[in-house]
Amino acid sequence: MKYVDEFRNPGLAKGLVKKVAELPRRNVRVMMGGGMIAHAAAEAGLEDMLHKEVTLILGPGCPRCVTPASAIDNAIAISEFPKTIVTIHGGMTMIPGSSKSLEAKKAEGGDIRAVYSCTEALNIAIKNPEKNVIFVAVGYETTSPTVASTIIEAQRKGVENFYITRGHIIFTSIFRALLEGGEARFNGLLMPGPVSTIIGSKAYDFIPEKYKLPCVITGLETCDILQSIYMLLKQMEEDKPRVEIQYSRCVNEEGNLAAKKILNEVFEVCDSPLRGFGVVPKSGLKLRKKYEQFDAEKVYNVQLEETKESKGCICGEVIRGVMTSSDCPFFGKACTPRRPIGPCMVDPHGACSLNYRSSSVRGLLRRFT
Amino acid sequence: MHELIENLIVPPFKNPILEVLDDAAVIDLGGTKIAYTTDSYVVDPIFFKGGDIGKLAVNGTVNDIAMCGGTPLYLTASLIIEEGFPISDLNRIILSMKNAAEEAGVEVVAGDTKVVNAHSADKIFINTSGIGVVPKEVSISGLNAKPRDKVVVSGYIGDHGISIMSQREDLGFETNVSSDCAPLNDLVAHMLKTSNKIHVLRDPTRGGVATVLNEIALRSKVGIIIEEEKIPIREGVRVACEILGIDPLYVANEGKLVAVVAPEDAPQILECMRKHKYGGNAEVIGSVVKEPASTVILNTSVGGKRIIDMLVGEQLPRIC
Repeated sequence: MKYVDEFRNPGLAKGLVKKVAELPRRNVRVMMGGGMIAHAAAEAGLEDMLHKEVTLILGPGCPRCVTPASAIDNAIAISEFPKTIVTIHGGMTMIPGSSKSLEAKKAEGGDIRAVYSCTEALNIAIKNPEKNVIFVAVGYETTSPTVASTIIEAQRKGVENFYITRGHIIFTSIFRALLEGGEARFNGLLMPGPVSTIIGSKAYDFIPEKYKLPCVITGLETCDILQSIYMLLKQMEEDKPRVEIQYSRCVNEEGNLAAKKILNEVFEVCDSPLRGFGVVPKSGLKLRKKYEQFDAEKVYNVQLEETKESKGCICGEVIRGVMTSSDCPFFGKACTPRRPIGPCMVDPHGACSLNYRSSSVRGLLRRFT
Repeated sequence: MHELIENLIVPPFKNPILEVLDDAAVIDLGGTKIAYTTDSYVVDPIFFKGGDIGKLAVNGTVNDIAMCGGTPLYLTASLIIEEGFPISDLNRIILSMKNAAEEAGVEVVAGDTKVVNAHSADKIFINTSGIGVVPKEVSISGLNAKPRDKVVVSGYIGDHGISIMSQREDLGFETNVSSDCAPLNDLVAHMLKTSNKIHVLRDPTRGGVATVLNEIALRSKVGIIIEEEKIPIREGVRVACEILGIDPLYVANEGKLVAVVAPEDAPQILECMRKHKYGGNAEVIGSVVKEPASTVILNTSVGGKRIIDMLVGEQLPRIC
């Protein structure tokens, strides 16, 4: 496969692993700032290849994992209204709310449909004019511009039965909250290429400037990640923290200006709750006044009871990188991919699910149980 | 699904034949070993590149019998049809079943037809059951994998699943990949002529090769190590899987088998498979080890390792 195989070249990968091993750093903790990086690293089995002194830790960044239980509770409550179709990205349906997931609600008879894109949800609305169609908007700037353009399209077509929930998150806001909190210990950050393609590398300037941490924007193929780890360690060695772009075939300083413009046209920044962090100032997006006819909150007056996270589940701490999966008493025992308790185990890109499938962690598990 | 079957459905019927949980039950009937199986087909779309629900219903049951080392002989077919289903489509499906039965060398000897109200079924559902004879000396089962055995697949994996996914309108992508839907009984017969050291045969349908390997590892209490670079995957399937963010190891096949065979016989079995119409791209993809038991490990092509687990839920395209 052209443009993929080149970046998974075994010889190149082994060479990069060797170069990383030759760097003098000891006990380096690299935070992978996105579920996609962690997933790609796990798929390639990188953990077993890297020098023992380099530890990859899973940070926040999986959009499904940081979406709070209240967002799911809200969607479930909306689905109980008559003549209502709730649409959501497929991967979100299994994420637990306070008492159940949308998948469980669907099994009880709720009209909940997994869609591939917001456009698909709009098409469902156009085909079902007698019903209200709600799109549960989640994710970062990787998905929010497409939602913004769908809203413009809905307005242009005069669609009156289509709404979205407030769930989009500003990617960098999580890392501001994480670094502000000061709990997590790591020496450098790998940031995911896809979202950086939209927001641009400048969005991360606060990381080296304010927190003196090196930051590399990485592609998601094996050799991309290995090269990025090398670049990060090199920055540490030089003690000159900065934002570097490894994924230069797609990312630039400014990002995708057209996408940013459309985002700004449709949405404005608001405070928003994040799983593991509580309400984070300026972390979310809501529709501007001009487009508020599409805001589900304006139509559905849902009063949620207090949201509950599973008792004893440490997903919040795992998301913040303060604890790891194996610190959790449930991990691999009461909580497995087959019977998940928290979102980090439900989602295939979540920290616990990835750790469960990682051979070295499982090895540890076996030794201690 | 796996837990549902083991915890809820199997226990009330508890008996030693059922508990083996192979693709077909093997029963001793007055000195003759019989392989007996049933399967229901609800595929959507009902017509797809490389086949249709009728061809699938015949080959699926034929293959379940073949995976016990049996020679499939007779099939039954039950149709559940939604009111208003076009007669021309029904005719096309029945003819397709006839052709598939002819190719596999089996006869449909009994059946049933029910028409249900509109919306009580989705177009057409087909159940087939099949019966076949297993030679006395043949003992093939998911319980029989042994350390040092070799793991063989009969060709490119993931064709059926990707073909179906590309033809479902909701995903909106196109590919030229056709379903691999095919009868495997003749291939198995050739393999059995070549070697009497075939320990396990499975057709990796729903859940794909990964699920089948996990079942074998669990039931035989062994570990299985497979090599990523040896797994035959068609370029079109690889590309589609990359775009959708799914793993081809979990994608369904309808004309492929996974065999676990004694290491000394692996070369001649592979040679025999490669000469057959339905085994042309067969490969040895890995081997069986004692430890870690009940675990499947993939050696990645870049030199790492990862655990291949049972599939949980459905594989869904990624959002981020």
